[in-house]
Formats: sequence, structure tokens, C-alpha cells
Amino acid sequence: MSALKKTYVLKLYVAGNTPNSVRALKTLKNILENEFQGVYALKVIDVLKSPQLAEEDKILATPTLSKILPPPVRKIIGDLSDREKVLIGLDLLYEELSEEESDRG
Amino acid sequence: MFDSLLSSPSLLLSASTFNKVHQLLQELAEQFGESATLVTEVDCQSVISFKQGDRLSVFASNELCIILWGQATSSAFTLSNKFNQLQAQEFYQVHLSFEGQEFHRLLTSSHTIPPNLAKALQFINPYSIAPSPLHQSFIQGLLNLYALESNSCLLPETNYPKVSIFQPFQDALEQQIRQERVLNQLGRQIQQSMELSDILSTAVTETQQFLQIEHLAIYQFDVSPRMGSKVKQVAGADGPSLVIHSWGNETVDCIDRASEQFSTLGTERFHPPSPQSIGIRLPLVTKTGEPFCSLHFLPKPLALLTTPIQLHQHLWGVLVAYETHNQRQWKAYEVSFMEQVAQTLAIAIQQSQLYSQLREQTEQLEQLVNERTRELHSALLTAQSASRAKTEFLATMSHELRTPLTCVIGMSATLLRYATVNSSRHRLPEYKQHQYLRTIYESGEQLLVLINDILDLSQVESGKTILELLDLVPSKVAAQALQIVQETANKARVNLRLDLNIPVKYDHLIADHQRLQQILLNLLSNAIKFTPEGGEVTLRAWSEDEVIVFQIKDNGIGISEEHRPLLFQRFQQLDSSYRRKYGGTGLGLALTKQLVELHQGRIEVESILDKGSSFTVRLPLRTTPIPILKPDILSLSTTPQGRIVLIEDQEEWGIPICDILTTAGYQVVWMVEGLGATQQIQILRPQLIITKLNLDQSEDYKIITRLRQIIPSRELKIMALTSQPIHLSFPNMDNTMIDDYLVKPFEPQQLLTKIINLI
Repeated sequence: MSALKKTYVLKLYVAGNTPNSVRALKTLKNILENEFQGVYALKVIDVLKSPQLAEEDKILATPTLSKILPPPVRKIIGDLSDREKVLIGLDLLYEELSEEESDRG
Repeated sequence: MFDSLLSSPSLLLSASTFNKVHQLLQELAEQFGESATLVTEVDCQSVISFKQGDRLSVFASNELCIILWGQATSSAFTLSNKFNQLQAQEFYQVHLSFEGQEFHRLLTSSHTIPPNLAKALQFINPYSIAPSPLHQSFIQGLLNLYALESNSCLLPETNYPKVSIFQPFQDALEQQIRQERVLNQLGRQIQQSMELSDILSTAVTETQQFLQIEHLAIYQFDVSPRMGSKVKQVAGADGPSLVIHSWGNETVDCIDRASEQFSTLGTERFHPPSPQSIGIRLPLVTKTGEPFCSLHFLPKPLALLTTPIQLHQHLWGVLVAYETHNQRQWKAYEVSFMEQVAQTLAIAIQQSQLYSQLREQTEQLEQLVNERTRELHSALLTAQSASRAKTEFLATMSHELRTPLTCVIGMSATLLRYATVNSSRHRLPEYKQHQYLRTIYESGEQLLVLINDILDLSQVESGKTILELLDLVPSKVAAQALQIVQETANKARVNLRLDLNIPVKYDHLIADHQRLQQILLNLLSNAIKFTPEGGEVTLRAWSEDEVIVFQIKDNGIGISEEHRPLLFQRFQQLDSSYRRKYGGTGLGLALTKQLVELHQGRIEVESILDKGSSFTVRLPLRTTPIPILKPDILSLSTTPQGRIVLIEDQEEWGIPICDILTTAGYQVVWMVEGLGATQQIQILRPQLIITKLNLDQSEDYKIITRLRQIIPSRELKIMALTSQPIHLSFPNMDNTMIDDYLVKPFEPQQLLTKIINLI
């Protein structure tokens, strides 16, 4: 049962239902719905409810979007209002990204 | 004169005895009166010249002729000289005969016949049959006894041959013994179960020798079961066939089939096959008097005796004796002997028939046993090979399953170890982590594909798979399939080529989209797998009459001819060396074949070793689609689209579910925390929520209630994951709360099936 499209594994770290978090989710949803071509699995993690997960993943701020697969791992911090940055982060814009984009944390 | 009379045995009678006998004849003649007469030597003096002292008494009547001829003997006179008082005593050498022919000839030869002789001549019939020699000798014996008694003291030394008196008895007895001997010999042969032909030939030779018959033959009638009565059997096309024909001293075996048919009795000339013989009809008569006729090229018989050989009321054949050179009157004992021989032969024939029947049955049984043994043997071989295949499969499977699992476990263990080390110096570089995770992910995916294959195959094999038939565009499916394997092909450095040649109006096929894609993907990935770097794999599609043809061609390693039959069998990889080089469970082609057959199609393979293989799939264009599910559901299920939110706080469930769903093509948002996520869910607006529902956590129940409150149920389906059936865990739960549920643990396919049915 091979997938027709590329599979993306994303993680979104939020802190409860703060306005920023809600906005980030909305934006992400729009991007995924309208511009994204592949299949995604988005894991939404509430750092308030699951702090250990945030710690494991070295999340310092919320909201943070992390692309786990396909490699390389990229993290995008903020409410995702910079669409272009998000698209690049999701490999949806094929521009060379310098390593500083990805968080070395 | 009276040559024959004088040569017959004689007896010595005294004159007084002779006179008494004479007197008896005289009284007999007087008793008969006019119908009989007595002639003495005095009457015949003119015709026959007598020696002195000779006596003659001839009694003649219509029925009997008795001739008593007494010759005076010298011994009688010697005796009288010795004993003076017996001088008057005279003896006669007496000859007795009952045959009038010679006397008649004698009388008629003289010119003048005295009147008293003429009377006697009337009565003597030259053709009358004389009493048998036995009869004659008996009377002679009686006379002798009488004579002995009357002159016992005077009896001179006897010089007549005693033996001659008992000769006929002895002859009869000897005959009887020889007859018995022949029959005994036959009986012995029958007991020894000799070949029927031997028994028949012995019977013919022995009987022929014993009875001094010129020709003796046994004829067997060809009996066909179609024929009814006896007459029909003989009148049938085959006619009697000659079994054994004894001719003179040599026995000749021959088979002679007379095809001509005759309806009259008697002998008749026929075209001779050789100058030495003529064709004759043998009139054969059964006991019931029905006539049988047959034609055989044998000399014309002067005497003929046919004896039927009866077997269970039906005529098997006949024993035929005949003479071609001499006339012969068949004697009563000869006829009865022939009958006895025929009866004995009937027993032999019956025995041989039974024996051959028995042998036939034995052979049949033996054959049956052999067949059964062969069947058992092949069944055993099949079972053995099946068991071997199973063992091999288990070995392969455990290898195939263990390899990715080892990767997953090993890599994750490494990651875990480094994750717990706090010192940043010992931290694993991130690219390394990525590498590990990637390996873990790929291994997991590989495992999933494998498990899915196994599940699919078992489902297809157990007949549970139902095709979700749709009107598809084959060229589009082919293009999609090619697209999917593109990445794999790139990695393997194999060129992919697509050659579509289906006219637009024929570009329709009723099939299960997913299954069709699976067929193509299996064949494509197989082709890629077995094609070396720089090779080429081509997917061609075209349409024939009522058939869409897909052909996947590669220029890879090819398949040798002996391996081809194994190709589509389960759990078979063609070579252990390949197995090492090329992974795989050997399920792919078996599954592919099953799927093609589910579509009522055919799959064929052509291959040249080291040159490449080509798999051809022919699927019939089904003109009438068979809808199994509602069309809107079908369209969703075949091209999975939809957003699913998963609420699951346990990683060990969340990760595999996400994998299953994304692999099936769904977009997944996984909420680790549920209760606070309702707002987020509102934003995401998924078609389906899969949520945990644990008995001991009221929170789970609350999530569902809240979701139901904020989103209308027709827009959102909810499926619960529980640890035991809902009605057991939540007896009070409203049926409308959730749309479906799944009990953990579950198979990926179960989850997918439920989802397909829901959205």
C-alpha cells in the first residue's frame, strides 16, 4: 500500500488555546489545505499538558512547528504568519535554505 | 461249404444230446405250423454233399433261422472202442449259427430245389439281421452246459477253446476299462488346471485313438451377448469357429470362421480352397433338435456323429466325429462315450472360464492397488512439498520481519541511550539522529507493507475480499502506478517508460481501483527489483476486444523455465541466492495473481534468462458495473482524501495509527491532549475523529460529549478506540454519540475498513 504522495510528519507545539497558538493552527491548516500536496501527519502537542514531550524535543517557545519527515528536520517558531517562511520550511518552496534556518538548539 | 459256419466256435455234443436238440427244433417247427419249417441232412442231400455220419438241422421261420451242423468225430469212435458198452454212443462236433444268408445263397445256387427245401427258402431272409455274437455265444454256452450235464461221465478230453466262449465279455470289459482310462486322464488334466487348449487337444486325440475315428473335431460357437436364442447365435455373422481339428495321427490347431450361412441340412459341395479338400456343411443337431449348420473345408463325410457340449443350458459347441473313407454304424457305447467326453469337456470349459474370470478380477484388483498406491504417493509428495514450502515461508518470513524489526529496535535503543545522556559532548549529532530515525521509519514502513501483503493475501485466499468496482480510466491508473514507483526506480537507477495505447473511447474499465493499482505496483516494483542498474522497465497498456491489457516488461535477470511454474505460488522465491540479493516474502506475485483472477482476468509471463521478463495482465472490460457500496463512499475510499483527527495520548498507539492513516493517504492531525483541543478541532474541521475511550478515564467520555455539542454530527464522525466492546464498557452510552468503535489491538486493515465505511 504505497502512498501516492509524499508523507510529511509535522509537529506543532502549542500552549493551551492562546491566541497565538490558535492563529498558528489556523494558518497551518490553510497552508496544508491549499498549498500542500502530500500526505501529512500533524502531531499537536500542548506543552502545558505534556511538558515532557516539549522538553524531549527541546521546545523553547510556542507555537513551534517542526518538520520531522522528510529530512532534514526543520523548526519554525512563531504564529506562522510568515507564509513564505512556512512554505520554505515545509519544502514547498524549492529554495536553498541555509542551515541557520533550522534550529540547532 | 458253410465256411463261415465251420470257422465259428464249435462244441462237442453226444448223439443223444444232438437228437434232443433236434427234437426241440422239430417241436418248435410243429408249434409254428405253417409259418416255420425244419430241414434235415436228408432233405439237403441233393444240394449239399455230406460226410458220412454228419447231421444237419435247420429251423427256418420268418423271425429266426437256426442252423445246427454236427460233424461225426473220430474221438467218439476211439472212445467206443475203449469202452465196449458205449459203442453205440456217438459224438458230434457241433456248429451253431443264426445267420441264414449263407444257407440261402447255397440253396439258391443249385438248379433244382426239392419242394420241402423250397418251403424253407421262403422263410430264410438273406437280409435279416442276425442276433449279436453275444447272444449267439450265450446260447452256445447253454447248450454246452446241457451237454456236460447229460454226459458228464463220458466226456472226452476237451479240446475246444474255452477262451473263445468268454472272449466277447472280456472284449467288452477291456473296452470299458480303456473308456474309463481316457475319461480319467481328462479328469486328471482338468484337476491340474491345465490350459483349456491342452485339455481339448488331449480329449480329441485320445478319443480318436480309442474309437478309431478318422476325423474328430471340436467346434465352438462364437457367442455374442447381443444374441438371444441358440439359433440366433449360430445364424449370427460369426458362425462357429473351429477350435481343434484332429486329422489322422496329427492334431492340427486352426481357427476357421465361416461367414456363410445356411438353412438346410445335408452335405453340399462348396468352392474348395484347395484341391485336396471340399467345402461341406456339417449338419449339427443339438439335443433339443435344433439344426446347426456350418461350413468347413473338409472331405465329404460318409459317417457323422455330433455331440453337443452344453454349458449351463446353453450350447457352447459340438464334438464332431466323422469318417470320409468308410461307412460306419455308430454303436451305442460309442455314442454314450462321446457324450461322456462332451460332459467332461463342459466341466473343463466351465472351470477354465471361471479361472480366467478370477484371473481377470485379480489383475483388476492389482491394477487398482497400484493406482491407489500411486495416488497416495503423489498425495504424500504434495503434502511434503507443502510442508516444505511452509517451513521455507516461515524461515523467509521470520527473516523478512526480523530485519526491519532489528533495525527499529537497534536504532531506537541507540537513540534512547543518547537521549538520556545529559552531557552535550556525548550527544549524538543531529544528522546521525535523523539517519537513525529515517532507518527506523523506513523499516517500519517496510514492515507495514509486508504485513499488509500477508493480510491481503489471506483475505483474498479466504474469499473475504470484495471488490469495490468502479468505472476507471486504465491509462490514468497506469500513469499513477508508474508515478508511485518512480522514486524507487530512481534509487535503483532503473529507467521507467510508459507506453499507453488505449483509444479514448475504450479507456474504461470496471475494476477495483486500489486492487488494480496494487497489481500494477506489485509487478512494477518486482520488475525494478530484478533489473540491474541502468536497465529499463516499461509499462505498456492497450486494448483488445473486450480486454484491457497491461504489460510490464523489464530487461532484468529473467526467469528460467523450470522456475516459471513456481512463480505464482505462495511463499516461493525462485532462488535462495536471489533471496539473499533481493528481499521479499514471495507473496507479491501470488497476491497479484489472486487479484487478477478476482477481476476474472489472466496473468501470463514470458521470460528469457538474463534477457528479461514480461508479465501480461488481461482484464475484461466489464460492461455492467456491480456496485457494492454507495458511489460517494466508493470515490472517497478509492482515492482516500480527508482529514482525520486522532486523540491519543499514548505514543505506542499514536505513532502506528498515524503511519497507517498516512500510508493509506489520509491527512492526520494527532492531538496528544484531547479535552483542551476541542477549539483546535473546530478550527481543523476534520471529517473523522478517532479518539481513545478508556473505561477508567471520564475525560475521554467528556471529550466526545463536548465535540458532539460544538460540531453537528452529520459533519463529524467519531470513532472510538476502546479496550473492550462498547456495550460492555459503557452500557449507558447513547448510540448516537459515536459512529463506530474499534477494540484494541486491531489490524491496520480493520481500521482502514472502518474509516472507509465512515467517510
